[in-house]
Amino acid sequence: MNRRPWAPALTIVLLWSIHQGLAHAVAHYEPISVFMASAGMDRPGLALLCFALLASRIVAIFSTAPLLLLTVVQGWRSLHSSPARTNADDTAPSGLLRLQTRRAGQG
Amino acid sequence: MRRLLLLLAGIASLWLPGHALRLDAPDWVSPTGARAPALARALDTQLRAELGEADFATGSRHIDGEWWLATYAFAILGYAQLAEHQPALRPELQVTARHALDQLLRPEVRAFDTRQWGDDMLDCLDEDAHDHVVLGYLGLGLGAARLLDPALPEADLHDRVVTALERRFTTTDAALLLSFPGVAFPVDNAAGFATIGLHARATGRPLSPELEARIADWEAAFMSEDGLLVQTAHARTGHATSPVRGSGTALAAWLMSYADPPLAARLAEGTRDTLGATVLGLGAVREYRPGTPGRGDIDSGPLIYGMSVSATGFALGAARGIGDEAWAGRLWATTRLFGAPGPDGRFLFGGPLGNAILLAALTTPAADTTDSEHS
Repeated sequence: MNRRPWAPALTIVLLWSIHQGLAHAVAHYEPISVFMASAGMDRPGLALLCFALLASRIVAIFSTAPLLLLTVVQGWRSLHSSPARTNADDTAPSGLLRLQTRRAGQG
Repeated sequence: MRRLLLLLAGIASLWLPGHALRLDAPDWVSPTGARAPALARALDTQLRAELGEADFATGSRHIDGEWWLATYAFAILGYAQLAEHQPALRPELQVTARHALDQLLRPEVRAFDTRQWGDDMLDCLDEDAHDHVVLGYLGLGLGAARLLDPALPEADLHDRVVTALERRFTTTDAALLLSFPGVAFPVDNAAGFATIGLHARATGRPLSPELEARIADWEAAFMSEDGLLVQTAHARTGHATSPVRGSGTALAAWLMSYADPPLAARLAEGTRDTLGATVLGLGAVREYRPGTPGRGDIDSGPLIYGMSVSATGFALGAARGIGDEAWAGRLWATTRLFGAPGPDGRFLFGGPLGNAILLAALTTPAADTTDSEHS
């Protein structure tokens, strides 16, 4: 996990890109709302697009908060477990520092 | 460390979205907010497109027509309320409302009602052969347009509509005026009361004692003790033919804020306290009482775990009408999530009717709900 601190941030960007793309697609087709499309069922393509946008919106909004948190924490951890720091710590006399370095390496 | 991280991420995913969705609420719901004017302009663009009965595609030609008429009526209501909040926009909104009113008064827009009764609701205002209580929705648009422009050329027509509704309400022996032959909805009668209330506000005339008595009878006959409204009833006897429901109650709570604010407060509090729910900071309204089984229909919209799309949208207007900003904020978070406001200000999932209802709901002024008889 520590080796990919950019992964959560990239996931956020991808999710919002998908969401924005779908939003523009739905706006382009002048929807008559999910409710009306699903009630009438005479425009199934539009209904499908609307539901895809809704699903992407819910996923994007509800996953952004934990992903942001992961981005920040992983970024912070990567700074504190960089190879240069690890080498430096490895030569330190403190057994605690060596233990921390090993743990960081395992993560 | 990893477990702590996952725990924090879990808490964040539960707590943050509901709060994040409310961050821009002031831009929408405050008198000086910038988003409501954008929504009004986007709605105007939608209404100036070639809009027709067929554009609503509900599966019922009759309901398509109802929604077409309601779109213009709620749009004008929203424009008028926005102008009250932001007077600098009044000239622009008068032009916008003028177009919507011209559309609202086209015979084709009320043809769904004409097909049902066999006569035009505006051609028989001086006689009471038919109830035509749907006139209440058309009257809302007229009343709002008059609030926006006191010198409205259609002021005489507005007066005649209100006179007809009030006369029919106060002279009938039936418990309800009919929406259509053999069909009576208490909430459609509430729209008639709202039209008369809005007329009173526009002209400075108080409601008559006879109408106030009629509204009191309506409350006694169709509202439960906990403030919920039956959806349908037998017009003559007043016998309920359906259970109390969220969509009718929330819409009535909103509409009655224009005619009888204390009664609106009782309906809104019933909606909030008995049918309201909050999940992850998002507010919603159930269609049926907890434990009462029921299916979604054209009135409720699709039910998601028992929560009604229509009831939740109407409740936003009800919450604003009674000045319950905390409840309005929770409902707003849900509207923000599922309505998907786009960059131009309109809600992508709204369609013309949804956007018109949301503009009117978001701009609904808080009424004085104090009532010496009930409080």
